Amino acid sequence: MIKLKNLAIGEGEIQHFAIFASHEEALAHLCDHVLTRPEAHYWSVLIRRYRNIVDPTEDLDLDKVADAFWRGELQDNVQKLYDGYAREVGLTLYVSTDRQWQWKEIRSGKTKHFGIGSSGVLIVWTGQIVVSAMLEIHAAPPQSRHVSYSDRRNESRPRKNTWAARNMRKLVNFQPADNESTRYEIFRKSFESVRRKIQRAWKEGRTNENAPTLPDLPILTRCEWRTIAEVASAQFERSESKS
Amino acid sequence: MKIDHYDNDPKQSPTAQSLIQGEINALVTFWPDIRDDEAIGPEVAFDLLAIWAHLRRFDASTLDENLISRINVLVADDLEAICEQALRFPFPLDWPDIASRLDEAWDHVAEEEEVDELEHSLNEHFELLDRASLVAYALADLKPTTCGGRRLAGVKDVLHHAESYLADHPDVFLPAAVFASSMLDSYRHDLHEFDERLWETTLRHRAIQELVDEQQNPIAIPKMNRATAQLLMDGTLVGEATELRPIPVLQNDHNPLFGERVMEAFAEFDGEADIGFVELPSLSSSIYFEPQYAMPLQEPLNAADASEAPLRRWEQLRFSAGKIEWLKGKPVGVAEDAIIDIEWNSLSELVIQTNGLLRRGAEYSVKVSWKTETEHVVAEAESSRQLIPEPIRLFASQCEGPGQGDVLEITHAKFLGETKVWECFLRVPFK
Repeated sequence: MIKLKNLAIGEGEIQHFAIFASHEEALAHLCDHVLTRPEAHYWSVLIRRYRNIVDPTEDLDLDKVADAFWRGELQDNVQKLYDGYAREVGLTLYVSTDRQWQWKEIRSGKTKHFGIGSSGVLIVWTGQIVVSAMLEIHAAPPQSRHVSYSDRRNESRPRKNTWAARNMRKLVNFQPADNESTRYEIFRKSFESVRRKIQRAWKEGRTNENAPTLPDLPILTRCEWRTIAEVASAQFERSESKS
Repeated sequence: MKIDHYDNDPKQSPTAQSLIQGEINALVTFWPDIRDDEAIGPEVAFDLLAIWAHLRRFDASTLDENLISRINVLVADDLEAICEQALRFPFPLDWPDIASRLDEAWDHVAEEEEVDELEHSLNEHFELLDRASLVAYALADLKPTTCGGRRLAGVKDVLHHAESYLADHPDVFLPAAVFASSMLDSYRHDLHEFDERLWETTLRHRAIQELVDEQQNPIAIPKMNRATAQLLMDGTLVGEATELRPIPVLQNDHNPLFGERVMEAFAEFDGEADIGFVELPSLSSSIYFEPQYAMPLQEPLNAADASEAPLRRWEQLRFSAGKIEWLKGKPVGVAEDAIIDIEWNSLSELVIQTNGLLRRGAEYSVKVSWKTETEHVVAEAESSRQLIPEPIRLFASQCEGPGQGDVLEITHAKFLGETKVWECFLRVPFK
């Protein structure tokens, strides 16, 4: 079982967040985002030691690892991946709170909160529980049928074929270099996409408050981004070590 | 009470311009770093060209000059490298298949979160095609030496495949309708005249917008048998109406395009009118007709007079210009240009009303020109851009009409799509 992480965010009025409500939920998101291409390629740049666990460019390898996770095997590895994933979620919560890169949307009377951070990760939370985290612009779309948690034992990565198109955005064996340019490009494309997402939500009346200011916010230049990312990362690490 | 919708003030709306301009600094400053990077360079170059072209859709006075200058200078200075990298961007050859799979997924998504992701995926898929078409436009416009005719033709082939899918399945992209529509409303209103090829890159926005309008204002497909149609063509049936109604016209493989609503319109006529029949292009060999009401020009009326004005037979109306011939039983084609021979006086007013399939609230332009023995005048009255389906009134103030015997051309080719036909009615009340 994955040991789920809780985060304390904020100064003064501290908010506590659970990163996913259950082991199954966390595992499903790991498989749908961190272990499904093309998003997996980029998570392998963000999560330390990712490539020690699995090759993000090899579907067979990704299948093998994801299948094992759903069988309750390779517990050390699944925990390492989850911890890396949770770190990015925590950093995103921290940065999005600090910089007001957050907004809320309502659908059918339910409120969901969104935030984006300096690594380009988009997180979604309801109440005090993070329910999703992804590099949305690189995410494989949802599969064309419902797959329950119990089905996952036989189909651990149901989205693995939804992106597989000839000459797709990222070639089959594409592996972004693990460097700052790649990390900035991940952020740039994510922020670009999120600005459209917020604008759409605003036009559709699903969001209000400070949301209109986010699409107006220019995408950070690499230099601006580097400063923010480094400071945020250091501050987040400090607050983590304190807690 | 739970809120389920915010009534946001449109005045506070983030603008399309700021959305697009907000990418410039990041792209321009990043490009030198990754100019030769095979992994990142293509994507950044692709975005650079797409943004460069996208900015041209807006009225320049609504943009930030400094930002425009920055991207213009970069694109001019490093044109070859940018274009070469942009051509390496792997636009998905099976873009339609991906769209189709996304559409199928609607039947199975159960979680709210997945709905959100699916909507986002469709929006991003639409955005990808939009950017690709802007890049193709930029390549054609900038003419880099690295992008010869064959390479550009290859890009266009791929895009044509995707565009055709979208034209046939605009419903798949309904989740993108609000965004597409808001962008479209922000573009310069004379885009088609400013740059026709650039205007063509916005057709997909319009296709989705029109579909939304059709769904909000459902139009019944009228039916009429051929015998009745023939009577109308022969002029045997003449009705009366106080108000000309837009007649819905939809293409259909098996039914003529007439119906009860045509007759209803006739029944309300307060005078006489000719009805024109226009053969629409068909997917099969069948012949289809569309009724056209033709009424004469007259002196401009104030609103009160106009509401009471009867309608008169317009004897001289003739559609031609190659693809269309004026009624009286002649087979005709699609109206690309309509030529009307009329008697005209300088105070004449022409009102063009569409058949209702155009987007309500959108602006469309109609170019009107006329020829005399010595000159060819092209006029586009300021007032020609009014909201559809409000009548577009031309010649109200700026222009004198052509003299007797001159040819008046009403051009509305821009309303024509590959699979849909936007016809105009000519509606001119008179005393």
